[in-house]
Amino acid sequence: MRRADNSPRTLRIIASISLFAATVLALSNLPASELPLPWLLAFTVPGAILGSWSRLARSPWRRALIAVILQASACYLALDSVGPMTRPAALACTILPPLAFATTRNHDGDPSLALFLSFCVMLVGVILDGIDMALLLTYGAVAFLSLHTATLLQAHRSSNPQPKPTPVRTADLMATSMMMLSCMVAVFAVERTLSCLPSPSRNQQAGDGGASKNNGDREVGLDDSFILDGGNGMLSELNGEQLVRARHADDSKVRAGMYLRCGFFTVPGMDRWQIGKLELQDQSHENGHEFPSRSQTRATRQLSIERFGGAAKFVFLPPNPVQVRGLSDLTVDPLRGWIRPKQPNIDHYVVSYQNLPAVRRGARIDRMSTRMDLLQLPADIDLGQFEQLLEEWEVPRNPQRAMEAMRTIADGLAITCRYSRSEPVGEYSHKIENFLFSSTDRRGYCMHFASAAALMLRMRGIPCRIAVGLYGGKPETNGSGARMYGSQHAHAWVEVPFEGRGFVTYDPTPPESRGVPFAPSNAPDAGSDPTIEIERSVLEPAMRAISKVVATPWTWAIVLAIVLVLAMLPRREPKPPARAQAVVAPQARRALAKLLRALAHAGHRRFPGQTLELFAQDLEERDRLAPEVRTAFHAYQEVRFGGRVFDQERLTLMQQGVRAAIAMQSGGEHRQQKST
Amino acid sequence: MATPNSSIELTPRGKVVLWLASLAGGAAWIGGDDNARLAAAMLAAPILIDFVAKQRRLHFTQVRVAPRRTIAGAVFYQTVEVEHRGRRPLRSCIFYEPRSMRGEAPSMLPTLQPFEPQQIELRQRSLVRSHVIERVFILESQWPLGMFATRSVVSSQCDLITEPMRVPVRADLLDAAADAETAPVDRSILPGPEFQSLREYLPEEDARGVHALRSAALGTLVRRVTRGRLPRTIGVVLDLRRPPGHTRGRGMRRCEWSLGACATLVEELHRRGSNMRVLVIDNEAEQIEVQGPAQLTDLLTMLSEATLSAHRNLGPDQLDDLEELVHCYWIPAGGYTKAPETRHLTGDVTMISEEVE
Repeated sequence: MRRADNSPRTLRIIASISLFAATVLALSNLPASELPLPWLLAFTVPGAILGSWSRLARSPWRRALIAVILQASACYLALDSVGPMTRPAALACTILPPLAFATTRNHDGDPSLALFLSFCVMLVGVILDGIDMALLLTYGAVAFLSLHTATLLQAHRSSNPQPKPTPVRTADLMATSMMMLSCMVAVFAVERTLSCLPSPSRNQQAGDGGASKNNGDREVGLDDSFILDGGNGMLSELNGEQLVRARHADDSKVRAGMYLRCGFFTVPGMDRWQIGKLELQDQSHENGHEFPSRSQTRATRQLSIERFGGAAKFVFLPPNPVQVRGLSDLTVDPLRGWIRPKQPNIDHYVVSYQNLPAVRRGARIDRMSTRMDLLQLPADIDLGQFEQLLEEWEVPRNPQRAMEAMRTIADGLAITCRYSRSEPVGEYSHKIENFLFSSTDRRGYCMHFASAAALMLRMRGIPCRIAVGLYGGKPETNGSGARMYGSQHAHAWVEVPFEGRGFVTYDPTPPESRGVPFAPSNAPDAGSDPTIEIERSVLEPAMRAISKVVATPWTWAIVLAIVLVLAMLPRREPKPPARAQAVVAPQARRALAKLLRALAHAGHRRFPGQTLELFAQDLEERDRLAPEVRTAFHAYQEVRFGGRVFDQERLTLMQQGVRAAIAMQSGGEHRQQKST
Repeated sequence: MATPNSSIELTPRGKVVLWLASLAGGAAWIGGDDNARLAAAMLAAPILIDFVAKQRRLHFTQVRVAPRRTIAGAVFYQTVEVEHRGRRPLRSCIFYEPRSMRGEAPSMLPTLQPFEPQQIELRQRSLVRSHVIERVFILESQWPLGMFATRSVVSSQCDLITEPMRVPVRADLLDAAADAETAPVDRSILPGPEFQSLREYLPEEDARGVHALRSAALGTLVRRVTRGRLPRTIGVVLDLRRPPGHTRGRGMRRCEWSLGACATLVEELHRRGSNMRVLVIDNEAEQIEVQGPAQLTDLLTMLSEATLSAHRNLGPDQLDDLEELVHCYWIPAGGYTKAPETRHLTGDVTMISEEVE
């Protein structure tokens, strides 16, 4: 028989709410692009129904049948609504039904299981979509509260409560809050400490040679105009007047400002950029590859790409591609948007893409960019010069104002530098420094503009990469609306990852030099956005030093070690507070006096100097010590010598002793009357 | 007084989380994966916080409890005063006494502020007849996160006397001593005899037993016959010796039954107003006169401490005080049912043993 739950109701409510909140937070961390809402509901609602409706079916076989029916129906509806999921999302969905079931049922050990599953879901969200610090911290706080209340409930349920439960004090709430904050700090500290440990795995930062033979170092042409060294997959083989013909399926005009990307570089250098780490895998379909759709409501357009000899080793993609059809034997990196054929071919293929609206002001940077290491700076960069230039151009420091920073940098470059097909020269050792800081002629071409802009954006905490491909093209005269691209249309620009948009094109090259410039349609008016003044503070160097120390992993490792050692040290028992001299309560003295008077009337007088204990012994020897009188003596002695409070209970005991003494007295009188 | 420190150990939840954190940490170290490192940190943090914040000063708790008498197997409620002498409050602590709360749920202590005693009521049941002079309590806590459990043993110098469980004794055995009608009529205030029947008055009998009305009605002298009057002093012999050739380690069930029967008998006889001269035979023969509640309490305490002894012969004068008694009860607690000493008793001897029952 199930034992009655005698835990406090408030505690049960808090435990249920915190568990539910942890589950909701974990589910909200899952990326909507990988796991659309219909699929999320399909994998949580059936489990929630089964968990909350305990009377659904008594037989386990019937319950299993109902579960299968519910789940299959939900999955069918979701599939019909939004189509299939990606494979990682599908694997992640396997833990959603038990999570929903355990959360809603909330019996016995369900909270622990549900909390663990929500933690797993949270991790899946981090893996798929990066870290959202605010959400993670909130989840940590809620999970701590859930765990804490579950521990308290377990203690209550396994024990008998006292008749008078103690109220919750402010100190208890403060202790819980402090521990919650400490838990957050502990997560950070442990993470930093673990990062101290050198990993025995090979460093994959430069080039990732084991991933694919196509991923060698590329020199992107800061030494010349877009010429790369030879080798498989190099852009240097893009030569010729005709490389790519792009045509819409409905014969509408291909716009002149279309960027056809065929590669990108993420690892910066003062003289060369490298591709960086790639996570290559096979294409998702036999006949092509499918990219995650950015928008469920926007229509897709079909762009037919015809490649010629010089472009056989590349796959050109317009912005926001959704699907590539007509190609096989591809290697792809879905996260980064990398796609290349394993073997050169000039197969014709069709790209589906979406024309998304311009990026809104205040748009957030995509959290997934943290996985791609897009904030790295060259080791030999002179930050001071670049910082001075950024301050001169008044580029905002807040990464959330990315749009404004991009516009400001483009304007600054347009003012400071000029476009030229020749190499930048000057007194500096690196060409990019000559391009920006030369005292004579600050000139360069698209790669210099792109490199400079990328470095400056990264200095402002805005992740970005350099993309290369084709831009502009030449319209065909046969009226098909197609455009032909050649090697003269090779171009480099910058791509910035925005949330829900993927990599957005940002071209810092002046428009008069390379077609239509980058101009967001909702760029703020010049006078509406106040300029942010950089606050200079005397404490700024100290704050930087402190933040540097805080970010150092070994600091946290040492702090953790000190805390653990202090926690394990034995402590002495503290001295008790000095108690005031025990003053016997007047009521106790009066009650004792009354008792002794009653005993005296009954013929049992205490001798002067005789202690209560001796007096009791004397009475016992004469078999005249009633139990109530003995108890009354004890009660008084506890107050007199034991420092106890003379409370109502002790008063009652003494009164009973008095009554017993009076009864002895009346019994003696009765005997006297009888004998007479 | 308590043990000098508290023990701390991992709970099943803590073990699982620690294993998972170790696996994640190992994966993070081997693979250098940021997500694995984050997972390891999120799993390790609650273990770390729980270990640091764990209440390790449980042994600074003082327990005060009053002496207690109870009967084996009977439920009783004990009020215990608990005072924590640490620096920080003691929260969410479970408190129980293993000896007397084996089948009972432990008690949940309220939050104990430092140096503020609290009264706790415990529902207890002592199952084993015993007399302990030190009571041992256990404090356990899993606060705050349940990854570790701390445990401390706290003892208090205090008596707990568990008397033998009372067993039902047949009424005729209890009345065996009351069959004697030779006791004179007295006018004491003790519970009087029960009227049973009338019979012819015999010469030289006490004339105060004559029933006047019935005699007048019948025309002959008739006296009342009473039952239930007990002798002034009844003898009880509790023989804890094992029979010759038998080891001490066996016969415990009979012993417990016999001790319970002895307690029942003595209490019943005392209730009926008789005094008892009890002789307890084990390694040494000890005699106790039960005339009042105090001696009864002492006898019951002796029964709580009684154990079987090896066989030995009684001295010739050890039964002298019982020979003058009209009636004696003989309880062979050790199984020695054929003790020859019973023949030395001149009065009636009633054997009380499990076989008789």
